[in-house]
Amino acid sequence: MINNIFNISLYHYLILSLTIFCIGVVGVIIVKNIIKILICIEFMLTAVNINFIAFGAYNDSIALNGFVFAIFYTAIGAVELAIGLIIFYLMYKEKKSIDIDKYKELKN
Amino acid sequence: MTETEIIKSITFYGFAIFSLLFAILSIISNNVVYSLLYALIVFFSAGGIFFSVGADYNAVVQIAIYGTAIPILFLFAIMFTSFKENKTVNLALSPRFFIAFFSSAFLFMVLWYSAKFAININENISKFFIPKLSQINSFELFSAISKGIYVNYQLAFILFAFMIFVVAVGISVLNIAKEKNRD
Repeated sequence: MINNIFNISLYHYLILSLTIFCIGVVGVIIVKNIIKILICIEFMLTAVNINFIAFGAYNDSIALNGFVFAIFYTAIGAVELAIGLIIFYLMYKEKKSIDIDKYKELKN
Repeated sequence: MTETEIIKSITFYGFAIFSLLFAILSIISNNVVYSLLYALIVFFSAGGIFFSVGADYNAVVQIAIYGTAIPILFLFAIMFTSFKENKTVNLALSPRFFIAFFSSAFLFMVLWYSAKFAININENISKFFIPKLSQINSFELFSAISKGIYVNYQLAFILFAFMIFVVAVGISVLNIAKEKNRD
């Protein structure tokens, strides 16, 4: 039992990233503040990055493709955040509110 | 069980507990600035987890981008918004909460059981899931990452650079168009 606990395998990393991803999903759905929703999306991206790194380290220790894709994915996260924040800023100038429920015109 | 394995596992568990705890706190807290600070701790602990696997370069990139650059963007966004509303608008504890909770719990169970099922179903797949972590020295790490970025995935790297350029131009064009509409 103690050996199992201290013997960290790929499975541990997968469970950790899955839990962080689920926390991000719950946050995106239940939080009303737009900035916090963007933070939760960043949590999900971090969880995916942990997945990439764990698979790269455990199963591809020569080419390390997972590490390379994690770097690309970090760039995607930064770009996505920049786009999200500029859209939020432009909408905020119109509505003067950070409540996501007040932005219902985006539905149409 | 060697000493390094125990140290590695303690590092992993420490960073994992930190990241999970502060991710939940960041959702729950009422003040956006506090939730940003908690998120910062999550990003730093993710960097620590990368370090515990042996991905030093990725840990540095994670801490440099998610630990410093992105929180500054968030801070600017918080500064633009009104302080009073930041404290009042937080959670929607309506049916939405239960839908979110049960859907994410379902997702968690499905993925967890699929991983467990894959381990039990076949020896080849279980080897894929529970292999030994090989020791990577820093020279091999840097040469593999540079070979990956500049040789194997050169086209993807150029496309990402182009994407960042398009985003930078697009953001400025959006802002200018908005200003013109207002005038």
